[in-house]
Amino acid sequence: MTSAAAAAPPPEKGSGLAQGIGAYLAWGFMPLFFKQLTSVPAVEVVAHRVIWSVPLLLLILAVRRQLPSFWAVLRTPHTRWLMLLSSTLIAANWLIYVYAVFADHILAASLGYYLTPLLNVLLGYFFLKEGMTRATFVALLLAMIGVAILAAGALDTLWISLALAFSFGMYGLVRKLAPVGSMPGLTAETVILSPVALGAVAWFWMYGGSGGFGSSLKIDLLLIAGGAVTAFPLLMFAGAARRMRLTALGFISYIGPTIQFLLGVLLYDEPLTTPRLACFALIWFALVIFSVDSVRRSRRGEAL
Amino acid sequence: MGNIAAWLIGLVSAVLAIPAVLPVLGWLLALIILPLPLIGILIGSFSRRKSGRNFCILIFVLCFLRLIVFL
Repeated sequence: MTSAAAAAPPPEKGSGLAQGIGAYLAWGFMPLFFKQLTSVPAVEVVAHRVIWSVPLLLLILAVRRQLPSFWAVLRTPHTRWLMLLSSTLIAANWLIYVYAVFADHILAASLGYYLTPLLNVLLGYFFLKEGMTRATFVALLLAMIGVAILAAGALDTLWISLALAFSFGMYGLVRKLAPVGSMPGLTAETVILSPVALGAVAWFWMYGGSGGFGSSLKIDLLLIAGGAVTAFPLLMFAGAARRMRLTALGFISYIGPTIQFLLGVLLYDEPLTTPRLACFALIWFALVIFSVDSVRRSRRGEAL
Repeated sequence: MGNIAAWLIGLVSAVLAIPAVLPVLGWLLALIILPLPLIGILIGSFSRRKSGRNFCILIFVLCFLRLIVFL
């Protein structure tokens, strides 16, 4: 207890876990929020989500004294271009996600987020020349068989899963290339997207039918709350990511898609057909192999 | 410890898998008996002895085949 460095880590570690679980619980239950907005066009929902996130994120950055790093992101040409790319990817991801919730395809969205960690390995292998262990290869193979079963038996929603996984996987890849923290990064992305989002909102305001912003107080408040729904889970995640081990964070990241899976099956009665369940089972198996392998590797890393 | 836990989980899923062979009991049971052996595999993998893990793999494969063949 004499040195500050020795005393500091344990409480930080504990709070990191709570924050990480909090973030993934919030992301898991997010379909409940978007289901309240089905009268609004998906594009308008995402546009509002972007717009209302900006002031909130800027406020959070100001409180955390991270505004300088946010300006640095936009001033440096290299990160600015990467942020333009990542903001396109996150916009696509949000749009597909909201569409999936609206169209009763939460199960497909859940599958997409289960696939993401495996896809990250594949993208890292091809784009960043990262290594791949034999166990990871087997896991990827199983996941691919799962996707193939789905392609053969339930092609209609497969594109949602793959588009979500690829947009989020590529987003992670671009973010890996840009040395930007998660909060300043998302602030930069929403700022970059806001002109387009404002244009979309203006268009819906003038030409959109009833049901959008201005149709009722409840809808307006929910659309504005979209900013908080975006910012706060990310704030918790950013806190967790700094303190937690990557393997532990990987484990709790399955909370999100698991809650979505249960919501889809039990609350919204989405059909869980045989090919779908078979695909889920294979991907779960793949994730067990992948997780065991990553824990073993991190232990070996510690011993070295 | 992990090996024994894996064996127990594997046995429970094997017992649950028996009524799931009846096609009437549909996907709800399949939903329980598929993740259960996977948890066993996860726990068994961190034990030095691998018999529990392997037993769970066997149960998972059987449940998976049953899912594909019957439903």
